[in-house]
Amino acid sequence: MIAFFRSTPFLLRFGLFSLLLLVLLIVGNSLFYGVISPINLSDRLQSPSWHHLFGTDALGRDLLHEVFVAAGCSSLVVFPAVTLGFVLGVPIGLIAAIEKGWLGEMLMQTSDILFAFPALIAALLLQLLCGSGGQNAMLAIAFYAIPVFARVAYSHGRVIARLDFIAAARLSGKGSIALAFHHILPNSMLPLLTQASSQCAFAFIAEAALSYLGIGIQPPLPSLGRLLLDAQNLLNIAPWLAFFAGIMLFWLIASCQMIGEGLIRYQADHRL
Amino acid sequence: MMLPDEKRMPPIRPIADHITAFFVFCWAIFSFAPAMAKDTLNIALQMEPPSLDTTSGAATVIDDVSYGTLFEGLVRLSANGQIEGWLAQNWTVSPDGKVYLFNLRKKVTFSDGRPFNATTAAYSLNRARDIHSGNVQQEALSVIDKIEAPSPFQLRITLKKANSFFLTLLSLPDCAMVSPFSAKNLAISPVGTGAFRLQKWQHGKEIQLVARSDYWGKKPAIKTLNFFFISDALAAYAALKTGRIDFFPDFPAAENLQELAHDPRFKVRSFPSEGEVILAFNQNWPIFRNPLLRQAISIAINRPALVDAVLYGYGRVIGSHFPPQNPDYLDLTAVHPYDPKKAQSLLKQAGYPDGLTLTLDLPPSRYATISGQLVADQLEKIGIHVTIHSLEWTTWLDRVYKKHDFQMTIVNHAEPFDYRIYDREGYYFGYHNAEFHHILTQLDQERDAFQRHQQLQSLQKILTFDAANVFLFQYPHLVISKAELGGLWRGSPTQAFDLTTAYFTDNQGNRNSDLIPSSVSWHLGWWLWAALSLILLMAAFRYRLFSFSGFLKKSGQFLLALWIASLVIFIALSVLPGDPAEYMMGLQASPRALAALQTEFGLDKPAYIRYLHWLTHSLHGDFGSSFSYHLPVSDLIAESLNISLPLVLTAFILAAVTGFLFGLAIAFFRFRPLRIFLLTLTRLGLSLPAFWIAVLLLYAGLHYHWPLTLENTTSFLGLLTQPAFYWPVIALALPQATWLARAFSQQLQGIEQQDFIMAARARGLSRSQALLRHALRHALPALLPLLALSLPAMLTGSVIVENIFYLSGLGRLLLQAIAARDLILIQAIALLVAMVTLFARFISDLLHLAIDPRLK
Repeated sequence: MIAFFRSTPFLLRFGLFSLLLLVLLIVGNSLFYGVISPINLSDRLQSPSWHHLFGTDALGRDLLHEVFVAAGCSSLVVFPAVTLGFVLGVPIGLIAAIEKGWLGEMLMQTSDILFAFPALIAALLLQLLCGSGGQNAMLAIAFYAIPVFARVAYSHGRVIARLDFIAAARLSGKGSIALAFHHILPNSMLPLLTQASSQCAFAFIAEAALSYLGIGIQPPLPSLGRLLLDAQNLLNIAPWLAFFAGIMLFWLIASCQMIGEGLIRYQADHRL
Repeated sequence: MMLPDEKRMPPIRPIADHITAFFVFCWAIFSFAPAMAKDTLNIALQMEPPSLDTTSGAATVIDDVSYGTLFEGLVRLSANGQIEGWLAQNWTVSPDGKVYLFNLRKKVTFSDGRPFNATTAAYSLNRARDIHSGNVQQEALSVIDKIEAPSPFQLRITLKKANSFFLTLLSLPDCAMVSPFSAKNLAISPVGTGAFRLQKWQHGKEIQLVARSDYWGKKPAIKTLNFFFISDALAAYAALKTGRIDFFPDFPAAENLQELAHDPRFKVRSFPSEGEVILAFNQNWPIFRNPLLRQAISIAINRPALVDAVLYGYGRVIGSHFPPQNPDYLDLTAVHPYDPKKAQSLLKQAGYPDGLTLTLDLPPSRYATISGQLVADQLEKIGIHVTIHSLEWTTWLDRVYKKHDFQMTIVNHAEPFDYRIYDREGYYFGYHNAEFHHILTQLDQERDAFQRHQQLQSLQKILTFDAANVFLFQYPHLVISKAELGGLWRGSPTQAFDLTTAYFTDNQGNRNSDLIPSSVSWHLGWWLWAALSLILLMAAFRYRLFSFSGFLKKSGQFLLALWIASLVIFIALSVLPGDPAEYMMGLQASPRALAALQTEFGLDKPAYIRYLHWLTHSLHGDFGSSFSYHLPVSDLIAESLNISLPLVLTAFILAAVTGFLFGLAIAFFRFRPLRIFLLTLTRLGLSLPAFWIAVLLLYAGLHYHWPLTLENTTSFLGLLTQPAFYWPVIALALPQATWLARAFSQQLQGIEQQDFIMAARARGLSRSQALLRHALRHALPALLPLLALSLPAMLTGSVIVENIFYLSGLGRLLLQAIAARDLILIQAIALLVAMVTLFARFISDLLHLAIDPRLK
């Protein structure tokens, strides 16, 4: 295990470490201080100090705690969304890669059309349809991730499907689905994981954007986009609000980006 | 055929134009705005007035725009509440108080040039008191017995009986003077005796009034009044901060007040309104019929703290459902003082010694969400656990207001004299009180002023002592103006500001913004584009960039995808829960208006016919007429594209150029610290969301007083010459640029390891030569599909960036359409964005075909 870890690129290790640290901080904060920060009106809009390391917001809540919980809430939207997109999108791409006929063609066409649909418009339509909230933001992000994963699985799967060992497996009597999941999937897992991590980075931005527009996670649960929106209104008196919310978003996105880049490096180092 | 001489354009003109434009550009960047006395006042109202005729509409927003500016009455209330002469110079009253003789001002003309005299004055009043006039004061004006004009400038009014209220009545906007020649079209083309006349009315956007040169009185210092309509809190804030708006008579966002009050550029004041924010109990729910529980909750809430948190101290605590500025108001704020200990014991008495769990359904307004969180926090302390549900307005209206499916809610009741809702059958909070009902019936029959006063006060007492709801605070009118704006005062009966006396003290004001309506010749543009793409296509076939069958297949896919997208958009908006017409009109819809709307938009026809109708009309560029703006959707979109298109295109070019240069630099430089620096920079750029960059830029702009105001121009060049235009461009371009740089550098590095580069190096080419001559040629085409894909990403990114910088582009239009539930507009914009995205993908596919010979 340790030896494996040594062999991984620095960026991958660093990214995983920073994400783990963040998760620990989030879990610690929500376990010790609860999910909803206590309101303390006498401490409103205090600038960062030893007592409140990140300062306080307009209702006197400790920003440090709020920012970490918000990051947790965003993660709870983003990670399930990307997982959902992965679980639904990858099989589409794999089956399309192995089935050369009309089925594969149709699957990819559908996913291309899905992909062409602008994400924000899709999210806004979904919000009109089902109302706003964390679950709907999650669905919109997942909806957008499906064709992305399908496309990546397809383009890698197509290359592998041409290789001889696939033909050999087919001759030995394996069906298309078994081929897709037993042979192509393990061989294209790394690029898929790479895509998943950069998709997470994108999804954090998308989630923050949706909350910023007021259609993502709803109060009393905090979310980074909403914190940024509130912060913008108080920009001149309390600039630290915008600063820390942005930093937290940056932390999340940068960790995902680094993991993705580290995975690319890892692939380059371990080319077949 | 020869063209007439004056129409022939000398060939040197366009070049000269460009040179001038260049100098204008340099001048705009390197010089300061010239010092000019500011005589344009930009005013923002939350709502657009339905008409401009003060004599026939009830909406107070009409008076905000046209009373005193367009229309004037015989008399008016002065700042200290006294009646003073206006169009009547003076008057005499007969000893029995029945006959009023007004001496009218001479040399007064209407804005169409016709004179004002006693005949027109008599006509105006007769028109107002006519049974069919639709005038709000028609009933009150029935005290008039007859109106005569003994001489051209004398008006004699005889009353049926003496009335001390009569002069006050004449000072109301409903008794303004109109001309018999223009009375028919008063709502859209108002003609009055005021200091201003209507210049133009762009529905949904602005009303412009300009000062008349032939005004009878003192000429106003302000020559142009522009009224804009902004209801969105964030937009309102941005409009003020960027200097676009000078005066906001009713600012929608209290959370910005503290910040605006700190800003020396603004003056912040608050005026009382009719809005009472209450925490309503659903008394259809048995537990809330227990008055002890209601009282316990009333006492547990710290209302002054609430006012402080929500309105930053600008609101006022109320004790009952009654506005404090009303003469019949009774101060009952001390009846339920904040006392959590007593609340706990009351809760025990009520039968809940271990506390209980309640739900609180909140509408999306900010006062409600903040109050809701505070209330939940304070109730938690006495042992009531509150679960908060944040609802969308439509859901709130449906669930809380219509179906009464809630336990508690917080909402602002903005209607005047709305204490009657406590006696209304089937009202959402379901309050019943026999004594209240009894007094209210008495009140309606009572004529004596003192008795009415007593009864109104006892109504308030009943509501308070019974703790019918928790009466939280009065939501004020928040008035914000530029600090240098003086001479504004508010008349008490009309509630409208006198804009004729306003002036700017600061002569170093901004340049006047030149607000010309935009009209781009779209048809010419379309033909040009069609010709250009045909030429490109022919060239592509000539040089065999891609095969004809490949092209056909890709265009087939494009058209199919477009069709499916249109279907999805249509279905998504058609299966919205409930009737689309009802959805658009909201709560206040009367059945007749609903039916009218349904036939207007063909909603009574089956869905597939509507879809075909919509599709065929959309293909002809006719997206229908907007529900909220009453304007053709294509016009609205064309207008917003005047901002969005330059924004997205400039950002696109900026992103492409910087992405290319950065990508090249990353691939080129081997010097390790520099490489790490560049890579970190791109990593940073990739991890910063566009809207955070936008917020940071806005902060820096506000802090260092960068120019942030974008003046309205129609031309692309006009936008490019304004420094303010570049902040949103940078915010939009930066993430895309870093993304492109990354992709491009990876492409270059991949190519550099290939054999032919090795061969080139072996032949003796230096590394830079090999890179620039050979690798670049292979990497550059690969950049094109990426570029084509970044265009739609920018289009969606611009939705948020436009909102932060308050640019009236496509993104703002979309969000406003969603806020106004304008389905027709949403449909059109969604289709347009989908179309652009699909087209960009189509182009990207074609480029792929052209570049990658394996796909042929």
